[in-house]
Amino acid sequence: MGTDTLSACPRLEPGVTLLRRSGETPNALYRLVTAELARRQGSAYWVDSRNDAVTHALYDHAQSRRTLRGLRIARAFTAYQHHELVSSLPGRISSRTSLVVVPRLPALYRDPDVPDGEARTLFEASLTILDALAESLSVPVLVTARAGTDDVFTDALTDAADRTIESHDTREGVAFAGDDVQTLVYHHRDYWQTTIPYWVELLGVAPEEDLAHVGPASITTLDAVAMEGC
Amino acid sequence: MFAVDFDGDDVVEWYLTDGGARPRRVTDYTPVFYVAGPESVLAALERRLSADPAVAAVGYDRLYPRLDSRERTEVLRVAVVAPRGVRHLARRLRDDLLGRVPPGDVRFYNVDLSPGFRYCVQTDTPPIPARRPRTLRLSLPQKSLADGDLSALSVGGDPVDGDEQECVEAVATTLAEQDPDVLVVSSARLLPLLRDRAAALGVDCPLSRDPERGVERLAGENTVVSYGTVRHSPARYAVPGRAIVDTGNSFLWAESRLDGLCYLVERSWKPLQEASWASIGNVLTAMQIREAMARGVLVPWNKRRPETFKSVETLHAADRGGFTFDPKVGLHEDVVELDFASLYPRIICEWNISPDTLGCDCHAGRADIPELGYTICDHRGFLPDVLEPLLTDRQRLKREIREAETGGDESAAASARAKSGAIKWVLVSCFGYQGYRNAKFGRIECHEAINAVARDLLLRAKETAEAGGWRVVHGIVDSLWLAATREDPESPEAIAATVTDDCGIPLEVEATYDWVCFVPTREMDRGALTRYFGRTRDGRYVYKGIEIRQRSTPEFVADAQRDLIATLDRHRDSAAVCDRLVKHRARLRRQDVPTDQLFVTSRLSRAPDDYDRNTLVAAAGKRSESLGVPREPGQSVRYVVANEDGRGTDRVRLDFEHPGVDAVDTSYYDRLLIRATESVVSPLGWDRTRIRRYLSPGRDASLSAFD
Ligand SMILES: [Zn+2]
Repeated sequence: MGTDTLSACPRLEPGVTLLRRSGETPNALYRLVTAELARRQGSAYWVDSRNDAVTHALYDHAQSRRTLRGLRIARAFTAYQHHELVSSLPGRISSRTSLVVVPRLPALYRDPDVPDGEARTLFEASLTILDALAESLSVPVLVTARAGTDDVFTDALTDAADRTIESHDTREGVAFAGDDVQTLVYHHRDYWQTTIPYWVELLGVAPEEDLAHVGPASITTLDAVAMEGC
Repeated sequence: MFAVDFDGDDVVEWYLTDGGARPRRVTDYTPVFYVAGPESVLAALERRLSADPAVAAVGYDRLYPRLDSRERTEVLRVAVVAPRGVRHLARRLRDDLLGRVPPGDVRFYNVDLSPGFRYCVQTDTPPIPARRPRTLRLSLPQKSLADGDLSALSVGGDPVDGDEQECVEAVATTLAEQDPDVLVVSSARLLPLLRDRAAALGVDCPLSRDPERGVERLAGENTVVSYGTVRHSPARYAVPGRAIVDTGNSFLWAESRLDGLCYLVERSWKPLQEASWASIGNVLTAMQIREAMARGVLVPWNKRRPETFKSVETLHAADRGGFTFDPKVGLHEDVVELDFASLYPRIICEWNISPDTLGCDCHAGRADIPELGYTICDHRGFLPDVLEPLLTDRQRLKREIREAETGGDESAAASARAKSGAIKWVLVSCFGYQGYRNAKFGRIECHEAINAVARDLLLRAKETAEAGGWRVVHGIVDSLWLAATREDPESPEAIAATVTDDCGIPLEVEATYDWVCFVPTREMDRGALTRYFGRTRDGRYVYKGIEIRQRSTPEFVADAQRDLIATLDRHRDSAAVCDRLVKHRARLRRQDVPTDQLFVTSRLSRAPDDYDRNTLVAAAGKRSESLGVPREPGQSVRYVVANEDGRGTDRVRLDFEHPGVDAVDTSYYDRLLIRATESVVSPLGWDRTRIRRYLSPGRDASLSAFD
């Protein structure tokens, strides 16, 4: 993984960025976070749900161990713990904080062991805190939600987010799509490959087999795609 | 006191007497829970609750909000009128406050305690009976229960042998004569059935000790997921003055019987009735709640305390599991097994690992835990206080077992074994429970710290053994298997003693094997961590993780595997084992095996219709349902395979259909035999292909061609 792939990864601007990911692995999350940490100095906080913070995966994606030195992770296992952790962030974060990561933000609030009304109140409070942090301290806050799990929680998340990035796993690696992502080619092993939108733009069609794993809906909305291999 | 039940707003205590039991009515009990929050919110709540008819009294107490709090906090004490009304009122308040105060600002404590247990701890009344409770067994086959037919009832282990009228009368007579304290029933649903049938037949059969009140239904049946496994929780019934044990649904009864259960009642103060349907985690929580309340600490309703923020490096180190050392596949001679006894609970006590000691401020900066560098306070912790008495009792009981066995007192030995077994289960769970997401007093850092210390201890033991002339052939969590590397190694006892002195936790010589086989995984590529078998020096066979030990294995296959291992013991040769297998296959093919030795027992992991694939278990579940005995997730089915490749429910026959030998799919069981044989010879390098080749007709030619 060289620096060329780093530049192919969307930047995380101050504000709340929602990553909507399809596919089973959190690879897109690891890519975004490690790329952003490599560019920025300072401490970063990760409030984890459902064990997304797999340390060896983070090590695999990071350019060096030094990249992860400023990152602090705490895992929540219930909605109450999650809210407690999010509520503790304002006491920890300053404008020098490089990044706040909250993967699968709605996940624990959907658990059946929290009564619905309470879950929604806790969730809204957590989201309000994150939003306020992003705005008042100009810190990038990355939150994620699985694509295809649309409910009151993801709706609220989409409304609160300043921008949305979509990602999916492809045979070649992770693909990102979003408003301000502008990369048309991606590095694959040691040769350059054109991306699907390139084919769409060039020929108005995409090769059959490539369509299969991207899905027609996302193709039309893709402004650009950044991908990277392995 | 023996039992407690609730009659309207009154509590009835039951005391066991020589002749039976006597009740005592309590009219002034009001269960208490607590609310913490901003002063103004509590003041407003106080005003509102004083006028609430569900509330008996409101006031303030000063208590510790957390195990590690240094200061007491003023909290609102709410006493509820109904003895079982706490949860209901707390839910109502919580929903009421939603949206009016920021979430997390108001917290509820001492809410979800079971009513009997709450009564005991709040009023300081130990639910310990004055004499050993008397039991009466009532059992009915599943099929009869589903049909609502009592005529197959057994009372006290003996079939009544009569019609329903005679069965109900037999129960009535036995209840009158023996006046049992505990009804041990094959299913709790037997109770309403008995009650209704007695009423219909006009037989006076008082299951309850209170003539005014009969069988009470406490909860409907449901399915719960705990620790990732599906469990069916059946409807619960209570009868005043007696405890009900539903043998099919009481983990603790199955594992430790009356004496073990009574021991846990003493330690946890959960009355026998509640202990009988409790899980181990439940009992452990009760013990912790008692200790917390004794320390003036509030019991949180919902677990809020989160993990602390950690560096990636620390998290990485903390996430490693227990110690494992891949077994060297093969047959090893003269192997010694060394075990750390009760490793995890001893680490907790010895290292003082507890939610309230880990990462304290007063000793900050000190690295007490290897790899992770966590600090542990010098103040005595909460968790060690809970576990220490159990460790002490277990040691005493082990001594009692030995003494009773030498003295030939089998009933004393059995009683001590039951208690010791009950403790073992609690000790085994206490470690995992620290990492469990809803454990009230769990803390994941404790779980990590215990693991890190354990890994360190095992590595140190390994080094000591290696220096003493041994090598590790297998190791897992708290055990090491050693083989000598030189002619005159240090004695295993000396190694164990050195490690014990070094670690402060006793390492014991668990077994000396003449030989032991470590079995490879099914892919044959490496050793499976928990599959081995062997023979100890004193002639005892040990089997772990292989078919013999699997619940689902039919008796016939398990017996055959036992025989094949004995064959391996005599000949140390795969071919000899396969020759012996021929005999078992022939018996099967001759239909010489009674069907009751061919039953497969499987637990349904979901509802029969929810299986994606057409497994045999799903077929058995559906067949049971179609024959009028519906099975829920978590419940078991017992069946013989009639036609593995057939369709739908025709593939199996259930135990209650009493299938004959001609209904059996011989080829299915033949394959099970080959699999069981593979486990025996695979340590010597033979897989099932090799077995089949060896057994195929004209093998001499093919063998010479291959070897
Ligand atoms: Zn301290």
